[in-house]
Amino acid sequence: MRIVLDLQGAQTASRFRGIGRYTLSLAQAIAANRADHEVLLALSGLFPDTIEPIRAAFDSILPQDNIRVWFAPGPVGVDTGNALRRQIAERIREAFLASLEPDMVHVSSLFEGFGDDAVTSIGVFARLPTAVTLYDLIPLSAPLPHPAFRGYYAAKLDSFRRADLWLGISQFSCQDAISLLQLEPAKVVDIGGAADARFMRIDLSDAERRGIMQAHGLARPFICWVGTPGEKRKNVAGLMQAFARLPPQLRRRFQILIIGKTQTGEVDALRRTAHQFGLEQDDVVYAGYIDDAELARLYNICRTFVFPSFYEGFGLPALEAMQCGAPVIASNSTSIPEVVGSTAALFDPNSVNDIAVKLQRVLTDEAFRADLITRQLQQVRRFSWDASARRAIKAFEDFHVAAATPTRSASLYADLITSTAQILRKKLFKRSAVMSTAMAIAQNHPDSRSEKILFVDVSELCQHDANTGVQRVTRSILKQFLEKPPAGYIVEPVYGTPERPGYRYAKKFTQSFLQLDQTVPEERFIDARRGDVFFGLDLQHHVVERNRVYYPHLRDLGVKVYFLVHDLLPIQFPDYFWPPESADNHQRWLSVISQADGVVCVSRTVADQYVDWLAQSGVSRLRPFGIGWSHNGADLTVSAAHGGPSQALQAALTALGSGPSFLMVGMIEPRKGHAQVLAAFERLWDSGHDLRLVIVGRPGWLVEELLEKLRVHPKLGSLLFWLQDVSDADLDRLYGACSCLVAASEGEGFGLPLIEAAKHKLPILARDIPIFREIAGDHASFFGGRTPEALAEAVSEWLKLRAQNRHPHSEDIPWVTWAQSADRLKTILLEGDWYKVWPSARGVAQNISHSTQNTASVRN
Amino acid sequence: MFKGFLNLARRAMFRARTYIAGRPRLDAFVKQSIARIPLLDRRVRAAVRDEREDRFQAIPVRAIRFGTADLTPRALQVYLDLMKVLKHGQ
Repeated sequence: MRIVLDLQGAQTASRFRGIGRYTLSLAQAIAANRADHEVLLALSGLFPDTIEPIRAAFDSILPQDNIRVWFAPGPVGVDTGNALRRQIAERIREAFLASLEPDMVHVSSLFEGFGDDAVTSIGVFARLPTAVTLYDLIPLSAPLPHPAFRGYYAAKLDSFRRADLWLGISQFSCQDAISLLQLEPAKVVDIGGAADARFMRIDLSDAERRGIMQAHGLARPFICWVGTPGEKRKNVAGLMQAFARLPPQLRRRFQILIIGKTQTGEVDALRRTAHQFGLEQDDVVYAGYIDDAELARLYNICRTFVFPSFYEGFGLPALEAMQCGAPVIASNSTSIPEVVGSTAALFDPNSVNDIAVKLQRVLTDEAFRADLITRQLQQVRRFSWDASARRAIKAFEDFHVAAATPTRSASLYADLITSTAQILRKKLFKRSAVMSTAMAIAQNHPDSRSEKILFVDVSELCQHDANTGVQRVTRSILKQFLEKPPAGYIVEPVYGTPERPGYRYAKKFTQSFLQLDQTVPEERFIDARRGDVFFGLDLQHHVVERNRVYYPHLRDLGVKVYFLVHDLLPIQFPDYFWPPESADNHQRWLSVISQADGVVCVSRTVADQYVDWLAQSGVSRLRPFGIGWSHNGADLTVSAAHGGPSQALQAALTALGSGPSFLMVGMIEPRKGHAQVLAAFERLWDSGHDLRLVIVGRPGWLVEELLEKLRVHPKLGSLLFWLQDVSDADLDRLYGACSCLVAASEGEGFGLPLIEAAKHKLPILARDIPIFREIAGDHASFFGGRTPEALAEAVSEWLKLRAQNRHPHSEDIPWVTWAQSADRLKTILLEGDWYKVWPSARGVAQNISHSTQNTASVRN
Repeated sequence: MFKGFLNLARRAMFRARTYIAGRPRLDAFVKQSIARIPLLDRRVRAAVRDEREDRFQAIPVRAIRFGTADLTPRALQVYLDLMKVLKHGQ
């Protein structure tokens, strides 16, 4: 049986209330107890901020692929301007649910949507077997002051009656619905409810108890009350009045703690009420909203928990307090006796005297208190989410056996188009409405294609190819991906712009890249769908930042989003980069990508540095984030543009033959260590060493002084050579002609020159930094220190070793081709072969716990 | 005539806005400058309150000011299907 759970009850403002907690806990338990049934979760895209926390809450319970997000045009809250849009949204939602071909749809909270964008309807477009959670029918028993809500509630009741099965949260709620709505009793099932496991007995020291009380302004032992103080049915006034009737000497030993979210002015009104009953100002303390962890502590240390409600569908706060070992006295009304159990704990909420008597007894009679605690701890064992879920699943199964097989519409899409068009016609063909409807339907009902798409970001490369190191990587990996796509995937180069979020197909670029001569189709925004993968291969900070909101949308759709990280150098060496905001830009870029599904770094060193950055930056995530690494390829043939040797190169090559020569490769910028190397060689030349230094690299930034020194250096052209524009072919020749590569950079993401040197069997003298150790291992000589003397000493030492042929040889340095690099990337991206996962499972659990704590404030 | 001028001005303002929004440093500078004048700040905020371009494709679709060129291929197909039914009642 395929069970689809509509979780909007955990997405709307109800997520801050008992309904949200009930929805989430029951759904988790149904998923955990599903046995052979298939469980799918349907989440509304109209509440984007709630999707990630819900996904996280099901991470270890349900495959993420079973969590589906649907989209509808919004806003749809009850408002005259939203009426038609809401009708369209209802049809779109039902069509989406129908497309999942469910055997049972469970709607956790049908009455959502009055003040928000919840879309809940039954049977307006598709006839689907539907079960609805039945919390209470309080609006039928109490007057509804808002005329708009009266109409809204009546319409919702019509939908409610169209359900096939009703899952009550208590016997009382079931009986209430049967009698008030004349529901068929056999289709109303009491599945009960439970309190969260975090509400438990906690051992607290006296000092901890005093600390908790002080934090809430409590000076004396206290009576705890939890709920929405503004709701009259919660009867907080009854508690205050009863407290006021206690003997003064007893009353002065205690305080009342009111916990619950209040609206503006409500606390003042409560203070006035308390004053009218003759209570002193410090007799009642108002705590407002309190998170679950703190609430559990307060339950644990309160003298008693009082629950005087006139009407409840269940009575969750009483159960939570009982689970924490607090003696609970409560109203004998509605569902509350079912929860509290012991009749000795009950009072008549309409009788202040009755409440006062029970209150006095629980505050003073130790034997009564001990008996209550014992009985109530036994009572809570009757409630568990697993038991509720099993009852719900049993009800689904029974219905499924008895009901006819649901009919599947063969023309769902066509029916939806016709149905929505009928409503759109009422909007007089308003183009924007048609477009927003089309966009929603397109996302919910994507094209049927057998292959998934690997979207590869080429935002920078498709604008211009500056032949930088980053672009060489982009070009080479893309070429491999296009030539050998992963099995089951189509590779689509895409690009974004800083002007607008979203990515377009890079059709023109792809034609040119593959040297195809075909008509270039229009470059539209991409159609991504569940199972696709987006890979941010190219590096363009502003485009990524502009798409800060787009990546979460892709993830909502079920698309995995990954990025390639070349390095963290602008953050590690902010003084070496230009313009000055480079570090900030990189930091923001890292922040955006840290909310994706994972990153692949170009080396293990960068991966480690990225993990360190995540820890230092305090990046908070609800779901695990993969960090992998894959070395860049080093086969030049893929990306090299061959050319003839220049005159300058020819001169250098001629001079190199007469003595040891050292090669430096890389743009001239402070980080690369050119100044230290030049100063070291000056000392060596001064001490009579016959050495050549060949610098290959274009002028960079923040090195004007050094460049000027190079331009007029007395050894230039004899012992010192500076070649600015060297083709890959010329570089090849230099690697073959020199004696040693000097890699003096203070930080690199990868270290391609070391591998290029190794391929030419050119020995290496490298700065002792992690990335060079990772690349070269024991196949290079290393130096430390930033002074010219230290490097000059290292060069001298290396020359001595070389004379004895004892210097490390580089030819055994391992390296990969671009094809191998691309294959490794595919393995990481598509098979999840991660080097590390951030945060640890424990960290994720803590973050989820913190997140879900924030989703509960007021109960019932 | 006036309406045409107004549309032209609107289009120019929209382009300026997208140009600025695409450049984070300029965007931050403009926002800081506007924030110094509370009256202007309130007016600008009111003017862009319903703007959805930033969230285009990214969150639930609402009122959209784009043309069909901004739809994905699938969305365009659905749009054309809807228009066909709307125009011809099929």
